[in-house]
Amino acid sequence: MELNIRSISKTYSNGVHALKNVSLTIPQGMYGLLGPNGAGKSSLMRILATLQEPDEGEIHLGEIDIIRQKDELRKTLGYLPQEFGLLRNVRAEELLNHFAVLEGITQRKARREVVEALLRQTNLWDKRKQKVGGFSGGMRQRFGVAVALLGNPQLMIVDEPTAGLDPAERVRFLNLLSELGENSVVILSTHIVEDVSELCTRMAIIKRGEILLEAQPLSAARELKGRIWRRVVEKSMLSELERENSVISTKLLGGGTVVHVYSEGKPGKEYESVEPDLEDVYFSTMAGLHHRTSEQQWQEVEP
Amino acid sequence: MNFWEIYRFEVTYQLRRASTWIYFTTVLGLTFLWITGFIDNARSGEIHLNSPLIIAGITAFSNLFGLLIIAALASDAILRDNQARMDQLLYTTPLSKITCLGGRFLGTFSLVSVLMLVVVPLGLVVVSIMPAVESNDFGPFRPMAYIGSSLLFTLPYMFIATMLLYSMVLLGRNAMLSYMGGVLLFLCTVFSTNVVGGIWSQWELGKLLDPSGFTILKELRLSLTASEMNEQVIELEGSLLTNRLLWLSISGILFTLAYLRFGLSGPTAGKRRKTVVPDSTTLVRERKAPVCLPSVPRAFGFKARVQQILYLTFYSFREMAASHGWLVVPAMAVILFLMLPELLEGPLGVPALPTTGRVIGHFDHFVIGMIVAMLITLYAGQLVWREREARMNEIADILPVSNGVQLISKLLALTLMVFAVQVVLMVTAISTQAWMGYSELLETGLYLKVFFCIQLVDYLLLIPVALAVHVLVNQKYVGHLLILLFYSYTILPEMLGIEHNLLIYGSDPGLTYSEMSGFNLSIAPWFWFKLYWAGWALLFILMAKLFWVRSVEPGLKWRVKGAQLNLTVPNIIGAEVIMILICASGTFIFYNTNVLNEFRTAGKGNERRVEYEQRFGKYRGAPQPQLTATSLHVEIYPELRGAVIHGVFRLENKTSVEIDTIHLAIASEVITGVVDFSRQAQLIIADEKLGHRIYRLEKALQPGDSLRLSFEVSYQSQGFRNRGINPDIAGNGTYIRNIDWLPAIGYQPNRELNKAEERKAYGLALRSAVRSLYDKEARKDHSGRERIHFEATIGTDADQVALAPGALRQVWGEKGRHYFHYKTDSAIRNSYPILSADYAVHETRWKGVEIQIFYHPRHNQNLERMAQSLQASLAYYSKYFGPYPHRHLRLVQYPGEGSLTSFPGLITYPEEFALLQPEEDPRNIDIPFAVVAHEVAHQWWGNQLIPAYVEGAPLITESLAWYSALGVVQETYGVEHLRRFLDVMREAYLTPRSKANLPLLRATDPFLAYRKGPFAMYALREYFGENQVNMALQHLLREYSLGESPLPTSLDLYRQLQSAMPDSLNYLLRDLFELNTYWELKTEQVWAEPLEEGEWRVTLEVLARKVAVDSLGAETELPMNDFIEIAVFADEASKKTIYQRKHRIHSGNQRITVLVPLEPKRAGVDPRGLLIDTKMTDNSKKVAVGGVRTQPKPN
Repeated sequence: MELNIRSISKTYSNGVHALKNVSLTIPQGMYGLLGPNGAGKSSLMRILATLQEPDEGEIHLGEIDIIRQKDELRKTLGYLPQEFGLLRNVRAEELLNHFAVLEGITQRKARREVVEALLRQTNLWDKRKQKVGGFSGGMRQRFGVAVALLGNPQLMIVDEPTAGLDPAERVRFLNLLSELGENSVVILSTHIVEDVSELCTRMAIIKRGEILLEAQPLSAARELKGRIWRRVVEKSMLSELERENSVISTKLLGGGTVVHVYSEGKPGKEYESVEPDLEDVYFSTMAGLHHRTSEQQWQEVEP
Repeated sequence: MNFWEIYRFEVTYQLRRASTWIYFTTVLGLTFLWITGFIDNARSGEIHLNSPLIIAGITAFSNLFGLLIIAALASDAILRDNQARMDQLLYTTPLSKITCLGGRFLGTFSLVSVLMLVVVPLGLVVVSIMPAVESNDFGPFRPMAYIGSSLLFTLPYMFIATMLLYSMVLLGRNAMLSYMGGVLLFLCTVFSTNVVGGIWSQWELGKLLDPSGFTILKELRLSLTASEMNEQVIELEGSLLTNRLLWLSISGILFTLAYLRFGLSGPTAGKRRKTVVPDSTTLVRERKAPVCLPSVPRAFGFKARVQQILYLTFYSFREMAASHGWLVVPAMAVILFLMLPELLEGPLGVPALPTTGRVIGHFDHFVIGMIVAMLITLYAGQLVWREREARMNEIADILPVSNGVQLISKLLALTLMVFAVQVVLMVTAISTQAWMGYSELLETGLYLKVFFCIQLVDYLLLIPVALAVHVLVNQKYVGHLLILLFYSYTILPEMLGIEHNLLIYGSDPGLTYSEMSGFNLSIAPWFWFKLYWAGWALLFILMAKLFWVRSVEPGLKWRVKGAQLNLTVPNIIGAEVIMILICASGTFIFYNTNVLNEFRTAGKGNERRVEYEQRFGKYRGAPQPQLTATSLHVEIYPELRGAVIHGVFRLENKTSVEIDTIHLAIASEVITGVVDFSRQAQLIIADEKLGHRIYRLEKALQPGDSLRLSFEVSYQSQGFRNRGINPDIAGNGTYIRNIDWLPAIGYQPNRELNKAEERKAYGLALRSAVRSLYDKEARKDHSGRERIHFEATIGTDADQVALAPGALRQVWGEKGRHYFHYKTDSAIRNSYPILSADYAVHETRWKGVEIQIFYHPRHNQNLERMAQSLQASLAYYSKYFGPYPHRHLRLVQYPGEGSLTSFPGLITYPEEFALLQPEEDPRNIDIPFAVVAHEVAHQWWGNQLIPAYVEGAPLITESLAWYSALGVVQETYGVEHLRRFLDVMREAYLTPRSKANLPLLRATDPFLAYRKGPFAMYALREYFGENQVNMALQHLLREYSLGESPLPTSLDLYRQLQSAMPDSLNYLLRDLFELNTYWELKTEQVWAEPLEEGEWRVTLEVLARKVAVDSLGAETELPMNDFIEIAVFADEASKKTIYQRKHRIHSGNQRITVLVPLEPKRAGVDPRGLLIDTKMTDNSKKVAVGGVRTQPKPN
């Protein structure tokens, strides 16, 4: 079972070109979709979740045509939107039970079982009698996961899930997802590089509606070996440095500024070579320095 | 943020929202419609559309439409923070409660006030440029009129209403409450004006109850003349001031309470505090098992869908039941329970038997329909928008549940809600019956039929519309608005000039129900129409299913694309089946309403009248022979709803010229076949559409000569009509009137358009609605007033009794049918019914007269009372006015509602009348007895003495009939009873009414005919004596009893009265009959001193004035030196009279001293109200004892 996205484009009525001819093939496992805010991640996610329509293009999950067989897909779809609310005056248990009915779990006993299992799994069992209107951000997020997991999804779409979570919740949440990824396609959209580097076996970088890079995180970093250089400078020197070199990232560290520069050869004696990580891949891709279409990438990896 | 920032934000935010403008436009439109509805009204009363009173009235009522805006703005201002998730942000900024709420309140108030201040002038401007409006509809422009109504009506009402609706939302935290509050305020005004004021005549109470001030203006309008209305300036004083203070304090108190109870930290704050610190360490620790879910069976088949639908239906229903909007239903039930006994009263407030049919009738009230429609609209919105409002839609919309399941479950949940409403209402109805002690057995079948078939269907048809609109429009508040507009269209289509029920969603020709004839034939047409509309409802459901919103994709393009995707083969087949259903049932209905029956719009009907007048009006007054005898053979087939009448008329030339042309007016309800004359005649014009035939006699009819005319009239009910059924022939309860069915001789002026505006619109010559009292020609017009010999043979079903005027000569059975032969002993007026039903008979006698009451076996409550009234009436009238001309008097019931009608020797009364319960009347008067006496009096006044059809005619018929009935009431029940009865009759004076009117001699309206006339006659009797007045009437009757030309008028009555009265009372006759006189009598002070030997000297200070008011309202003071009764009573309740004598009273102040034998308690001038005085309460006064006067004692 894999997800095939072919030449998807999407333009909004206000003229924003959210997706431009996007094609991706996503196998089972965790897949990271990395990009800045407004890159088109959420549009793509919503299209995959049957909530929006592409202007053109085709999407298939295994045999299912996502655009035309929405009902089929929904039977095996889990979706955790970037932001959502819950009814105020309903208890957690009751609401999950409600969703379970909609998921087609019509046997009362089975429903009770699965609701309990999910509430325990998401650590909401103690709060099952509480009104969901009073849930904190993290609890709401976990509840969303529980709903998404109800249907035992083959395709799980998670849009910016870790934004509102505290560190412990985040860890726990990502673990949950990666375990799910053992049997399903899990797409994780995020603008946080760590989320991807820690968990995803594959990833794509998207900017202004275009896929800039599709790769495995580790090999992509390896690709860059020898091209990323580091230097610590005074803040005042920064603009001069940017004029002369391809600066991909700057970071404040102690009193100085750590600058990462992309260069085929050593740009100067003040620079030292660094082991590239996914962040370097991301920033150099965003800067337009590291670029490969997915097709080329495929050909390299596949044989 | 400070106060002004919040205020500014509120105003600009709301102004930017589309919904605000949509509401504004709607209010403007409604106001515009309201004003145009006023044009005719204003024009006929010669009032200017921009006179201060009318502007105030339009303003006050338009303000009610403004409630819609306030409801929307108020709920939004308070609840939007929670909805938009801004609550945390906003509530954490240091906003004091007063700043936040105050700013928003002021924002809402000023916004809505400015909008409403613009609406009325704008509406008037739009109206003034309409082509239908003429410049003289507008008076001089008076800016003060607008400013005044803004300050007195718009601003206070907007302030009060905003406070009230804010309070409701603050207390209930539910947007629906604000709409419900709006509806309640609306109903409050309608109720105060129409029920408290209009029906109960409690205007003082109504004026207080109505926060809009409309009731105050309404009362003012009723009591002013046109010229006064154009000038009257409204000021903040009296009841308006009290009303404003009362409502400002009520709303202020409520708002303060709501404000104090309102916390700014959001409704779930308490709970959040407990859970806001998730114990992250435990989270990690607790994590034991990997993701491993029990694999559970999932199902997506048909069975699963049914299970899902059931689950979701009950889930949604529970959710609705838990919300506050629901409270309106029990509230409605309680109000109904309290109001029903009042509503069930018959005419003049007589308590009536709460039969199931009558009780149910009140549950069809448009207010209930409106509330249920409102509930459906709001809850449909809530169901459709539930997930999106919680921002849960992205989670919920991707679940593998079909659109159909969601839609159907919402439909069913709403159905369940309406069902629950009906249960509550039915329980209310049954408990009302129990409470009122209705002892008949519980008619469960009828209840279930009405509440769960008939009414429920109407509501069920609205549900798909509500859901479909909400789905299609996809904008909650616009959706609400559109549904309500749609609903108003369905209940008021005539505003758009649409009359055919095929174009009015959910409509039907109407059901009729009576205990006598059940639903008659009204069920089948009802069913066909509902089937047709069910087709449309299914179409709405299908649309909602196709366009079900399941994505965040905006834009029409995508919605259409989505709908196309949803359009699967089963859906297409479904749509085709529905279309076939609609077309088939629609065609069938159209065949019935437009082919089998004639579809006639109001406009078409008017055009026909115009055409009739234009084409045949020239024959008005053409010499025609007069009908002198009628002989009928009637075959009634109740089950088949058909009848055939063979008739022979005898026509006599009573004119002095020969007649060679006969005009025959044909009734439109029936088919009139070939007409034969007893001499050669030729049909020269036959206009069946306008119902007029002209025959030329080969040999002219000489004066004094006569001929026979024979005809056949048949009627057969065919299919059904667009509106109602023809009730003339029922399975049980046939009631045919000759004027509706049989041909009439000559041109029929009563078919002409009568209203001045309508005549003007069609370019017809203007004429007064009734011919002038001084029109000599009119006195020779005998059309419908002929005296005829009558004979009829009537055949009907074996189990029914057929009735007609005349003595029953023979009864026989033949071929399974029942035949009756009636023949009159003396000539009767040419106005009679033919009835047939399964009657029971109550029989008694009075001297030689056989008295029979034919009644529906279950309606036997008032038989003895009615029989007693018939006997007493016959006795009294024969004694005073002349012999009763027949040897029988029959009182016959007919189904349904209507009025009592007195035909020669036969009085018909409606089912409604049979159910009155005078013994329950707390006022201790027997009104049904009096009403029957009134009808019997028509056997003299109207059937023996037949007045010419000119102004003043009802003075002879109705006024004399009531006057006579008063005598019977006094003779039977005594003076005290009569006094109580007169008090009830006099209520008509106490209701607000303009003093301007015609004098009694030219009376045409019901007030003059049924109230002022009888009171004038009664005053004469009290001034002059019963015998003298009755003698004058007897003379009048004797003079005209033959019914020859010229027919009598009110002038003849007047002449008789004048000749009977002493000259000293001539001024009184003149005041009562020739002028429209009002006395203003007031006792300013009364005191008494004890004299020796137990006597008392009572002194009254009386202020008197007498004015004549002309028909335009101009008052002229008349010099006064009248005989007026002075009375002294020994008790406070004015019951024990110890002095009663007429004194000369002149205009202005005077002092009157009388001696009485007992201690006086109360005294006054004209305390019985014999003279017409609009303020009777100050006529008498409590007696003060001793010389407490400041003035010198009288000599």
